[in-house]
Amino acid sequence: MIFVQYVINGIVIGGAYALIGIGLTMVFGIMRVVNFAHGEMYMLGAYFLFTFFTKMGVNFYLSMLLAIAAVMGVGGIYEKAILKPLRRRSIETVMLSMIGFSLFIQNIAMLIWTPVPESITSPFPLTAYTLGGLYFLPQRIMVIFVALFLVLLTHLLLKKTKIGKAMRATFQDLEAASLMGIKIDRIYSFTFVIGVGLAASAGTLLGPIFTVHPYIGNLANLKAFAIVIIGGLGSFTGAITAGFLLGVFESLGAGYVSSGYQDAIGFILLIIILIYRPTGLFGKVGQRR
Amino acid sequence: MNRDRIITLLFLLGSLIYPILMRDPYYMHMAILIGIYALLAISLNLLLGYTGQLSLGHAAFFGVGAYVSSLFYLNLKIPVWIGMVMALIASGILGYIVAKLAFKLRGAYFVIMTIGITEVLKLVGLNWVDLTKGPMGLTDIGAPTIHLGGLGTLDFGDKIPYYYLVVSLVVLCFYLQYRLVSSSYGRAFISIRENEDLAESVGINCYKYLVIVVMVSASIAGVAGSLYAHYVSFIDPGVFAFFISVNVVMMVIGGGQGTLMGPIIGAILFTLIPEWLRVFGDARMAVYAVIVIVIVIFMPRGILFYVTQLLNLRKKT
Repeated sequence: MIFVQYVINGIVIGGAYALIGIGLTMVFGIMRVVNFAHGEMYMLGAYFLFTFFTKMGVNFYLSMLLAIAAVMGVGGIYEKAILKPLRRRSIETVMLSMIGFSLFIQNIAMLIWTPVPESITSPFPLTAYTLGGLYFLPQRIMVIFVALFLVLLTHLLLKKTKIGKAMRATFQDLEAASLMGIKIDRIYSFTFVIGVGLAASAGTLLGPIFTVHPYIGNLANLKAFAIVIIGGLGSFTGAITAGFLLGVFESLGAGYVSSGYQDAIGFILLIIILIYRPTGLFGKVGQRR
Repeated sequence: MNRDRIITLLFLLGSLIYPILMRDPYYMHMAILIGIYALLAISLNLLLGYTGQLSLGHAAFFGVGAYVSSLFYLNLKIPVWIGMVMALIASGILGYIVAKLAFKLRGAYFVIMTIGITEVLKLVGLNWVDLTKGPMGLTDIGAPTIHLGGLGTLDFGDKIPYYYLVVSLVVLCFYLQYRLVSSSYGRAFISIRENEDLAESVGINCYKYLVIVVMVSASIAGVAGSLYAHYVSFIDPGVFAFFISVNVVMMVIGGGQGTLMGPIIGAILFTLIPEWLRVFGDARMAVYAVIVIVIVIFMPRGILFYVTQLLNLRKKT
């Protein structure tokens, strides 16, 4: 029974991981940008929620929306100011400027919110529902439902809307898409903002479960990369699957092996994938870059 | 003699008489750190500058070198020199494993692999308390000594002998870098950087050369880590800090990637810049981040390049 409980806990966390993963994989797949500041967007999401909800007392769901919107704003400004002028530059230059940006955000967060870890108060009752010997905390039920809702929303955005169609076209063939009159610059900006918004949403979901401090972005980054590589770079389905897988494996690892090494599990999975299936679970076999 | 040689020799001369000019212990301390980081920068330059592969995990090789060498010294009481060789071998093996796994694919994979391995090693350093003492770190790591027969022993615990030890290793690695990049290996490295598909088509086994260059690079980084540990005599999982990896990348890029002197200039700059930025107090790292972005975007060819360009311009007018 305890095993099932671990799996359920893992699925809840995995939902948020899936959100981080699809955000990163979208930005990589469409823009060819490795967003090293993805974890920092997650961290900012959690901190904005802390400020709006815990400090200012705004309604919880409204605070979540405000936090996500604020992070999208930060991402949008960065995209316009730094990434846009770097479109024609090498992937290394873009990667390193992203690293600089992530260091910047991390340290600005440290100046604003101090390095002392904060906890976001939970607006939900702390008594768990029990069902057949399993425990379900209201907080965590909310997390998994919101996560699934956002995954579905992103899926619909990509499949059903005009801009989603343009994004998929850009993903498949940049030049052909631009010849068909798709404004690539606008697609890029939109993709980046949505991508960081997804990271921020994961931050607002996991923020109240864990503590928040300026360096949580580092591990979030590492996990995001692990998820995206395990799923296959640029694969939407892959990121979702890998997100849930990682959540479950981490939960089981922490329960049965050691909680100290919990955060290393993503990397261990990544290595196993690199050995047996380097292009990831859903990546195209034979693709090299 | 061409200008580059003269500059290199002047640099060497300057570093040899430096301790006579600068008696202040703080300046000696900074000079030793610069030397250690210069080793690290040379090692990354082989990889980033000549084969074009970005590693954001050089702290992993540095940290493994530091830990392996210290643990051999503390637990087995063997001479420091053997520990240093062990550090070299251990980091080299780690480099081999990372390269074997990561170079199955290109682009971002190697970068992410290197970041990941650093974070995992940091976790090991924090959690394997029996071996590493966890966050408490290892203390009382001794400095190397040489027995000179009847003349007594030369103790490298003092700053000045240690400085010369570091300088001689930097010179050795500089020479190694020079020989390597002007050999057929070096030409293979550069061809991989310029156009991998083309290199492959003329019969260069890119995978093999990339694994070799990572191994060499990691080994040198391990030696740098070992030198660091025996100099400061205390290490904790902070040797795996992401900042170290980033700063080394900045040394190579800021100084001039793919040039012989670049990493040395870069090591001087980026050992001192974080120190100078202390005037900004808590905002220090935010300012550092802005410097990183500015250099990456506006000076991707390194300060050396822009300075020489400026000098040439003045000559013409």
